[in-house]
Amino acid sequence: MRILNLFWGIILISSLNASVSFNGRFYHNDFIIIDEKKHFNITLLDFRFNVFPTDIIKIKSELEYKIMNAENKAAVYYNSDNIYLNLLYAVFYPDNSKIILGRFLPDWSKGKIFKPLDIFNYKSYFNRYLNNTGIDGFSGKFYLTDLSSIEFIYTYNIKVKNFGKYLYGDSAEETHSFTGLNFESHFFSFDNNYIYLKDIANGMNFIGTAIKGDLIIGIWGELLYGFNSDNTKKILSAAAGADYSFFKHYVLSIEYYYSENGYFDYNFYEYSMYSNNDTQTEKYFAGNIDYLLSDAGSIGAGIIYDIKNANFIFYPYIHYEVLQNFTADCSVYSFKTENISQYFLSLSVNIQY
Amino acid sequence: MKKIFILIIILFAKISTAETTEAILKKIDSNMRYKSIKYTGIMEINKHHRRKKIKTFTAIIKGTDKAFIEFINPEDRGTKFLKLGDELWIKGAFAEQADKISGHLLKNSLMGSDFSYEDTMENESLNTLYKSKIIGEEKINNHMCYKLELTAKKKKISYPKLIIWADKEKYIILKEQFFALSGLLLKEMSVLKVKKINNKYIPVKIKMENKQRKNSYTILKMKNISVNQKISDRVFSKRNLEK
Repeated sequence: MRILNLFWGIILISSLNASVSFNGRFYHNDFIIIDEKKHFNITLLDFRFNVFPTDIIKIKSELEYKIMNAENKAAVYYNSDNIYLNLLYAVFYPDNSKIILGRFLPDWSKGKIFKPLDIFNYKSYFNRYLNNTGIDGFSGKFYLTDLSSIEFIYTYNIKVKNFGKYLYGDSAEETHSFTGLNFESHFFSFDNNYIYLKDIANGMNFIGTAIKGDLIIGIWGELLYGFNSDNTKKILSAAAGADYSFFKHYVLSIEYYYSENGYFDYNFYEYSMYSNNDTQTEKYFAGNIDYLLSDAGSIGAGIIYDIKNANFIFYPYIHYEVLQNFTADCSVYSFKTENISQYFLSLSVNIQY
Repeated sequence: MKKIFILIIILFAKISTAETTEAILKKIDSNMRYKSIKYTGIMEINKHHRRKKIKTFTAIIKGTDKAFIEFINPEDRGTKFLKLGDELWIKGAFAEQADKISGHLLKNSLMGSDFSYEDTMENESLNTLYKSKIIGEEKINNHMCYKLELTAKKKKISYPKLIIWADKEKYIILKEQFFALSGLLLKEMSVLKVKKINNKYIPVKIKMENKQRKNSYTILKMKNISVNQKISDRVFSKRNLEK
């Protein structure tokens, strides 16, 4: 309730003498487990409110109401409070700089499906339409040239399981404070990032790099290496991908993922494999083809293949823009492992207002 | 001797034609290419049986390789594009970070319209990109036009062949057809309205039709146009994109 009061208070104060804009969306997603005749759904309504008191200050916020129903019985999503303040931050633009203070969502990743550098804002490919709650902290970015910058970040609530459970063991469900740097440069036709993060309390260190650019085809890659203070535990995850569009209507993409982050984590690629293998290494391949429809939207199909365990998920889908602010999605997920063969049907609508 | 004389005349005629087409393109370029242009664009996107979509944006283009577009219609407000040479970045409406778009996607549709990213951001001179020849003269909207066939000088280009209809008096393109390497007609552009701004004739209403898709066309209206104004290079930066 305090969060809500704070939200409305800021809206009231900041809108007294400023340029104001608001929008939001309604999203509903139904999942049906075909073989078991069970279903569950997620509904959310969010409200985004932006205030621009001056040219060099912006205040942005996102409030969300979210509820999940399982098997026709109302079930609470995550906890008893269904209202989330996902974002509430101020951005300042002094000359050549950008300073963010509050609850915000940094994104250092470049990948499409596999994202080792998605540290702050882990988002599964299969629920990419859902919102994430931001991290509380500070970011200061200084632009060195038109295409290069250095960012300093401080946050006190990163979910450490985003790094994989191996490094943190039993404390993987906790959130920790981090400080970090992200240097971005550009050469040839590539954006390059070099990152360093330090877990202030536990002495864990993370270094990483990301690259995205063109060599006739679009290519990207990212790598994260983490180690504890006495260097006895290490993690490594890396991903690389490529895409190309041909005949103007088809986009083909492939990605490869290698991880030594530890035990299989159902929060990561949870839909993809029903793995019974708890060893440290994971190797995945993903492929996707998208055909852009003549009106608006696309149809396509993707596959994520667990190389080590020979499990896979195959998902044909259709994304259709019914109206300018109204999209509908339908997809079927087919899971295949040695012991399990299961089908999910996913139907969703997304309305912007 | 007579044969040689005829050959010389033919050769001379060909050279003079080549000069003429180059001169025509030069005049078109001088009229339709700008040191810089800034405008508000309104796109009406029409697709087979569907309600038309309206998207508005501000565009700033400098020289041949710098462009910045910001969408301002409610659904897309805050979506921005930065193009530097052959490279393109996007910042989503609710994102704080810019993301690089693969170069091969430059030929894809801009926000669901019949214009590609390149169509709206290209400002390179025709003489630099294409070889040309006159293939006739035709009337377009009561304006007598040169009909020219343009073939690309380099391989890496969106449209290997163009046919353009250029107004003989004003030296602006009133109609343009875009072809694939195979000779397939991809798109057709028609100029619906022209305005004189700063001694330049500028098409301010354009229809772009996708010839590969049934009843698919976009009308682009341009307003608040300013041409050849001084624009800082700082506009074309991630600093501005992430603002």
